[in-house]
Amino acid sequence: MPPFDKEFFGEFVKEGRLDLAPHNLFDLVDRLDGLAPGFADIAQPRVHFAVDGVLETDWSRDLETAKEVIVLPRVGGG
Amino acid sequence: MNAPEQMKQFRHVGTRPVRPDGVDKVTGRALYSPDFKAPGMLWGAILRSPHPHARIIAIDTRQAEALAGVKAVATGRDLPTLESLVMHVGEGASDIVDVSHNCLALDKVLYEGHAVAAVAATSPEIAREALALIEVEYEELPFVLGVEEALAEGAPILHDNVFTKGVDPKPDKPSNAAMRVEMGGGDVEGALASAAATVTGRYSLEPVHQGYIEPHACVASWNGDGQAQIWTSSQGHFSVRALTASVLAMPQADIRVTPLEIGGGFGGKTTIYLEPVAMVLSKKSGRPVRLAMTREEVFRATGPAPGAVIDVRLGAAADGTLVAADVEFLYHSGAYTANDAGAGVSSAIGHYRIANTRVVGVEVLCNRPAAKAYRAPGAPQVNFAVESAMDELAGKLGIDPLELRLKNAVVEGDPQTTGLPWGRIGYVECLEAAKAHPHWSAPLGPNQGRGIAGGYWGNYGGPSTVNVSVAEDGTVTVATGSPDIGGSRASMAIMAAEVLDIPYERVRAVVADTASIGVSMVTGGSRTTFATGMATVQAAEEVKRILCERAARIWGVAADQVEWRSGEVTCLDGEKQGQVMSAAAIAGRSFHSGGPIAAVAALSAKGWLPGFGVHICDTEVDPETGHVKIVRYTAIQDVGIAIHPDYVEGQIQGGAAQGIGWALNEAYIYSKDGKLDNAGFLDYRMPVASDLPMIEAVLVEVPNPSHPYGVKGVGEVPIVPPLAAVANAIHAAAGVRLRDLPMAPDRVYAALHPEG
Repeated sequence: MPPFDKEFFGEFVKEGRLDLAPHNLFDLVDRLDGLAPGFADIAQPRVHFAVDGVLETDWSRDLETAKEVIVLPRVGGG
Repeated sequence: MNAPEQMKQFRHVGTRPVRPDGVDKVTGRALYSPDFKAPGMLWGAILRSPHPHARIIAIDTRQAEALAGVKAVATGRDLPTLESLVMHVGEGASDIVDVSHNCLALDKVLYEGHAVAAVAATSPEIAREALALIEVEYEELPFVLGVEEALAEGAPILHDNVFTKGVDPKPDKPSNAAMRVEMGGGDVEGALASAAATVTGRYSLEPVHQGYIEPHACVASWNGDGQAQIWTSSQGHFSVRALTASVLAMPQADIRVTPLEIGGGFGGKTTIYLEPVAMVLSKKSGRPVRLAMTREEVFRATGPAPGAVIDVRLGAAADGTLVAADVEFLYHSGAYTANDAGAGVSSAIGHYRIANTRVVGVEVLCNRPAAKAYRAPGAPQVNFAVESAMDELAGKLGIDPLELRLKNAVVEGDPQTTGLPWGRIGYVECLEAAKAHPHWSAPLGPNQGRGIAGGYWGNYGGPSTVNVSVAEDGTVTVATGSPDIGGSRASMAIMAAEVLDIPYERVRAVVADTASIGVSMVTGGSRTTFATGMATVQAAEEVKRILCERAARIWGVAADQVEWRSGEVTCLDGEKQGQVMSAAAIAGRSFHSGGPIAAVAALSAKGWLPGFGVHICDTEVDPETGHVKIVRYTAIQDVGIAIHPDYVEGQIQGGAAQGIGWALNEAYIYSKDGKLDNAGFLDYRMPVASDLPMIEAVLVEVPNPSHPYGVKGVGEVPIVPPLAAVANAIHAAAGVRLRDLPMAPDRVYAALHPEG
């Protein structure tokens, strides 16, 4: 989750992981914001999510069958 | 060099038709932002700070306001007070408060050239005269320019509300370290200790300019009814609208931004500098206002790519297997947070399989203009260090540098630094193409040497909107919200023509203003041909479906009894079987068969894949002067499928040329009093055509399975490998390892003659 693990979730993260069961990525953002208020404010501009190894732009996607979400710094380009 | 797995044969994709905007551009008719005029327009000018760091005690504008011909004066007090809000700004996240204060400083100036006040007058001469009448009282503050100096104990702190992000626990003191990003895993120290060979090096680079020729400029007109128009060139007019509206605390729909042709951006035109200021001046004066930067202002007041200090340690087993990498870098962020550290960390070592890694990036605030995106932002700097170290490691191991790279190159399924698995990438294919290329085995002359380097960029997808419509004569218009920087109008027309199976000349692609098409993200991140192309294909497919449906209704047959063949509809049913109806025939009757034929596709594209490149460079080093001549250069790149190969090759050649300039000549040079000493193209030495050989671009096509035509972004990768390719070639030619850019003649000479 770098850099968000240390910036937001230090006390909750164990070996870089958090165990949550969100129904979609919006729900994940809400849950993460519940743990560390302020995360939701920066999620859209600064975060990319990868679901089971693939970067996902649709945050409404159902996560029922997903095994893992990786939280990444958003990278744009020039 | 072509596709190992070409997906299918195309009629238009992969051809090289003339670009639709070409004639206007070569005949001087194309309208760029400094050329645009509006009726009744005033001329704006901006007063800039002479100090690199100072508190603004007072600004007295009374004399300027009293000057005949002056219609408006503005300072930071004329912009609304904003709450902190982090927005995705073009290519990275920025706090809108920082964006506002960068347009017009409020309490402090943070770099020489920081905007302090602005005037609008009836002539440029009066505007400049008025600037001289504005009195600003400053309290000068200590300043800091270098990243290591900015982190030193007792260094002047730029912002008392910036606490280093990415560290735990949260610091209790403000710092110039704006952000720290660390990724990796394994036992780096243990692996380095047991490695058969290790290399260690410290590398440095100065900030560099994107080198766009057209300066920033805009015209703004804020009408009495609250509606406003802005004419500007940028990499994203929707981004200009969103940012300007946010800075001015007004509804986005009240601003209509019309994109003008863009004379280069390369990442530097993904933000705003002038638009809110022109808007305020227009509102105050009641007239349209133009603001245009001089070249000097562009250098002093807009964002360069960050410079860096980078420490690298690599370790390998005796057979060349990389066992450990430890990379730590400090990037110049300039006056505000720039967000290049995450990209640098992601782009540092991910092109190699390494079991034990640690990559740390820190963004450091200093009294320079806020750094901005430049082609593959954050990647070339760290790649220079890593690919130079790879060359050194190959030398220590006695392994050919290309073979060392091949042995360790990532393939599909290997993990990236972030932990994600790589998709269908083409790094190995590029290395194999380099190995097979005649350049790699060509003989060298006296004082010549050959270098190689590889690199990559992640690319992007994201939001795009496209409207495909059919005129009554069957010709097709593709309207996008993506500014055309590298030939995207031609590429969109090619993809629409491919879907519709009609001649390229029957498709006209245009860039629509913010009131005429849905939102699109900036043209940047190598996303437009991929994402806007995907939307174009989707909208054209829908138009094709509508045309088939209309033909079926006109014929009175079931919709499944028609088929699209060779750009027209063929009937499969009954006595009409074999009859054809052209797009023109259908569109000509569209008003009486359901209405005009058009389709909009609005999507947030995913499935993008990174691009990989391998560059081979031959240099000739003059031992008497230290001058380095590039004698041959080949750039090999996995491009997915090239929609228009001319423009793909152009992107590769341009990126390589910019990278060579970064390697050999380019750097922002500051005086001891914190002022930029080379604010112009005479003193800021970019390569020109006579400095470079023909750059051969080799297209390796490993299609992206997620795109209808296999597209991968191509624009950013080519600036990544040149820095190290040139350094490695100099080492091969002259036996000296240069770790500080630019490798200008004085530095090369000093390395060749250490005795002095």
